[in-house]
Amino acid sequence: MIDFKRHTLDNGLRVIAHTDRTTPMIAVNVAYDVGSRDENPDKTGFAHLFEHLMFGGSVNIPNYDTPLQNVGGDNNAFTTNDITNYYLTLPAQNIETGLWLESDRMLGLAFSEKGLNVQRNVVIEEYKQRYLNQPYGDVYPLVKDLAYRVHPYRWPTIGKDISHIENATLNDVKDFFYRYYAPNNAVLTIAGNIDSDEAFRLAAKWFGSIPRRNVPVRNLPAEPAQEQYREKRVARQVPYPGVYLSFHMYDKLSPEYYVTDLISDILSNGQSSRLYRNLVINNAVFGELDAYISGDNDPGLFTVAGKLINGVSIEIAQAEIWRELDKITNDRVNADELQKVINKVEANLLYSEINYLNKAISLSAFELLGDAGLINRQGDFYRDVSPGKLRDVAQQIFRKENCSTLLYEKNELND
Amino acid sequence: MINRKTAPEINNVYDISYLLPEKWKLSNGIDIWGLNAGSQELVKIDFMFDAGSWYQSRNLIAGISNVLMNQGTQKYSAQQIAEIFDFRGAYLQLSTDQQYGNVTILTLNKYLPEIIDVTADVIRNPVFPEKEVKAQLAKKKQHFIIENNKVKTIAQKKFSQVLFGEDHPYANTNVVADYEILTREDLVRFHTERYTFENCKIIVAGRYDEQLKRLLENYFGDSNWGSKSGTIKSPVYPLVPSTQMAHFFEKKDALQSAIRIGRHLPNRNEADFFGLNVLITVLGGYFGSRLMMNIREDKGYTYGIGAGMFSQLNASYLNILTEVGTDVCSAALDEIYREIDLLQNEPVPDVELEVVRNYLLGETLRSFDGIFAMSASLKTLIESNLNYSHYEQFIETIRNITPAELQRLAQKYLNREELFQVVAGKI
Repeated sequence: MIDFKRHTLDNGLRVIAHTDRTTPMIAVNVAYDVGSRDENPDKTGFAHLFEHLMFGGSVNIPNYDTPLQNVGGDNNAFTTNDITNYYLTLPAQNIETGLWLESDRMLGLAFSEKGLNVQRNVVIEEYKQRYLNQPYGDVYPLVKDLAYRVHPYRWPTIGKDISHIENATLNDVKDFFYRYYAPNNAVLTIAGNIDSDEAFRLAAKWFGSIPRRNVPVRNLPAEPAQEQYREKRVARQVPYPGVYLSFHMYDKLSPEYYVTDLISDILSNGQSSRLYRNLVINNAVFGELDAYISGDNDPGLFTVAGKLINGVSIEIAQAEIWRELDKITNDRVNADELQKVINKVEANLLYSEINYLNKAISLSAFELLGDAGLINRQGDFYRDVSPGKLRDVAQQIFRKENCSTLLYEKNELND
Repeated sequence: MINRKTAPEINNVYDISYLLPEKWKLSNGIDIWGLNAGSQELVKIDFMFDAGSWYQSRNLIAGISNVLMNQGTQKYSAQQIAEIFDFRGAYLQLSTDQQYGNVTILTLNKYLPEIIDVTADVIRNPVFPEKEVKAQLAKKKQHFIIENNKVKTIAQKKFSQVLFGEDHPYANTNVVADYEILTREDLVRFHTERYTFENCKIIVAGRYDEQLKRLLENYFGDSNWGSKSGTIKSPVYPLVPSTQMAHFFEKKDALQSAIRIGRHLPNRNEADFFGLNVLITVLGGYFGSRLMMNIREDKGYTYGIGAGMFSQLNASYLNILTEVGTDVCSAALDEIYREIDLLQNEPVPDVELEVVRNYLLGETLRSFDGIFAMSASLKTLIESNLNYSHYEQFIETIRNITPAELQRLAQKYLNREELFQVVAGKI
């Protein structure tokens, strides 16, 4: 159970305070309600590029990092399909430095051509490092592009194409900032060695005077139900062929979301899981085989991803995955197996409560989803899952016409 | 109106306090360190054995015998072991480095008796069943081959060979064939020799009481799991660094090149160790470091660059590491050396040093914050036979080191002609 308090400032900034006296530190987390799903299809990768620019100095502070390091602080950020999240941690007595820095970059940025140029290059190197210069690096963009036709989840957070990053102008960047970086489009969480009254007082002091902005109402096209099986083959210079099956699933506020999470655990979490026992160890078809959910706020993907061992055909490998999916669709899981994955989730929730920064990030993400209080209800959502419900959801998802398959073949020519 | 132009008042006087561990011994002499802390009813236990690659007669034996310990024991099958842990949301983590073979468990206290029972069997009585060995080796081999396609893996492996010499256990010389010649007998023999009570140390962190002490004594306190062949002396390996300083490994289709630059440095028990740590932080140890500010934040050549001091029981070394666009690889190398030269030629400005001091003090505070961090910091000390005065000394150095001393260290240890350079990819 995580105790927290909530308060909304006049400018619309939602503030969450959580006290944890076991640490000498405080985490300050600011989550903006903007992700790659909010991008223009011709200007993808913007939310993430923008995250980089947020470290290039703000209206009153030329350099973000130095003052923070100077008080023993540390920070980072990440961008997802749904949100852009900034966090810092520092010794409790220097909390005001953290709030000074975060509030100033919410107030306004020091936009410069030089800063934009450098960060464009940095992001392009990131693109190469993560996606282009790694074996299997382009799997994720290919899978999204195959599974989505309409919804902006069809491009990856880093961007659909390097040229979108290369062509970003300072005006695009400014426009993006004033559209989405607003107190009424963000959640501030202060967690750690501080009481909630003090947290609210300081939040009002530093963030209270930032003007509210006109944030466009999100109106994303829903992905229509997939009605036909999709398959794509590519050949790459990799040591082993790969098979990736992706199924459309539920949004994060649906109870079924938690069911799919447990299905993925039954299939592939830990050495006792089905895919691992059956298809990696007992009948060695795959060297690696995982099932996971994408974790998106809007309806995401349930993916089964495997790398074949030598000598197994891609057809047999696919058939073996389908056999496991059919099993979970047709036969009720027994109560023990379900209890196992529920226990594991419960233990993991407890482990995650140790760290004040984890708690700050989760509280913000749940608040943006609709209600920070969901953080304490997750356990119940999982405990409510029965073998019958699990089978119903599996039947809904694991249908051939709901499946997009990427067959990632080994390019023999370049061997 | 609040003043946003100047920084709020700061306070960098803090008491970096840490909990000293409770120490006790089992009847057979195993040393245990306990950190009784935390607010959750859970515990993490590290079992450390002198069973790292230092002690193996052939590549992979130490690592593979460690990770296969949970693949079946006298009492339980691999499947049963996995079920027992998974059902309780507990974790069994197996890992090795050059010196130690580690078995780490994390569990809620309510499951401690069952988890200790099966962990004891995993440590003391693994049987390494033929089928599981074969499947795991195939899996590890596949992972190995995939990793070997990455420029960073190629560069890091070569760097370790250049630094230590191919016959030294700190050098990574694994090849695909190693996965094919390893036998079950190799694993059984290594396990029998190395995973004995004489080679064992234990660290406990979390909330614990007398029950945990009794369980550890009951399951690990006897002398029936000692060395069968008498005490085996620790082997001695000479360091044989490469005589060539610059090495290049081409990967034709690379879009980025991986760079490693470094050398041997004094270890934890030597006087210059602490000052060097500060110096290397200035160079590349934090986001505001000179390498990051120049090569990423000014030139945009890379997504990230860092420098660190890596210390093990028998060696310590500098490692500057990055992946850069192949078109800017030469330029990036020039800039790295320019930053190194600058540290030799000019004292670090006071303002910059002040930031580094405060950053490092914050990091030190984090290293004792929470049971996982506390236990990791303690493990570092135990691995190198040190005590907490090691951290006191480091804090002392962070607070007092002068620009002149940093310059002296740079001049002594960062001479360009004494640095090894490895590049994998394209120049």
